Amino acid sequence: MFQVLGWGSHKSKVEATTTKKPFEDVVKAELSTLYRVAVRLCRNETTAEDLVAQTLFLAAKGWQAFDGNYPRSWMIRIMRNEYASAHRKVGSGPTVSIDEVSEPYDDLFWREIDWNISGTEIGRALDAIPEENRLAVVMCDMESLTRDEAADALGVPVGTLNSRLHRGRNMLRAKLVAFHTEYQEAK
Amino acid sequence: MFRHDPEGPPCSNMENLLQQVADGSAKGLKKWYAVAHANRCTHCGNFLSRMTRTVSALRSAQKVEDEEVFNRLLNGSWKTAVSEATSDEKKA
Repeated sequence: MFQVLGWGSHKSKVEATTTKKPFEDVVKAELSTLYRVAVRLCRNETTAEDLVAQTLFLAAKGWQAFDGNYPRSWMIRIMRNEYASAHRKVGSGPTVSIDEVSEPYDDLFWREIDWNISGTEIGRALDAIPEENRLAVVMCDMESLTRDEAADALGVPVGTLNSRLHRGRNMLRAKLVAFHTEYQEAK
Repeated sequence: MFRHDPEGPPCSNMENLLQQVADGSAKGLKKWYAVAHANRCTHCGNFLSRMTRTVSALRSAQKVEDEEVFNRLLNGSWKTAVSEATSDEKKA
């Protein structure tokens, strides 16, 4: 009796890990996430579209060899590798020094605005932080990937992802405060 | 140690926990400990409140969707790769 039950549960686990959706269904389900991550990665919508198109092409070619687990992180990983290889050819973009992002303690900002920052400002602030932190924040906080999925997509351990995410949020917060200060001065 | 002067960085041993409380991933005793500390330490209290607002702004940021782009992508060259793979499979 025990053995039969044990075997049954093992079988269902095996089935669960080997069930693979058709590629078209996965594309439909993940396209918007892929595109948004690409926009944040490239900081440019046209380049992002090209990057997603190339990612889908590579993913379609590799779909048969893929085991079907975590398709979202698998596709983001392909996208990131593709972006990195294209980036190596072009040369590195602007970088942000950690010194630039120490938080100005402007408490008035937090008291006054009662959080009505627009998506555009958040996008601008995100574009101004380094790529590795930006991707961690976009995947975990905006696209709701689990830590495991995001770490898998970036090819790093969960601990590394956590520290990139935490540092990224701190930088983002500092950037938002800086934007608000600029805005107040311009007024 | 609790700090009561108005501004400053959070306690270094608490920062990770406070980040987890802010994004909702800390549960049970961990959460209770971090919140109890933040209630008594001004630096950590400020940090937690700002981080919670940052995470919530990120989560509610508008997600711009462009139908035209999505249609182009849905009908892109990957479809050729899929049909080639399917015909190879049939031949095999």
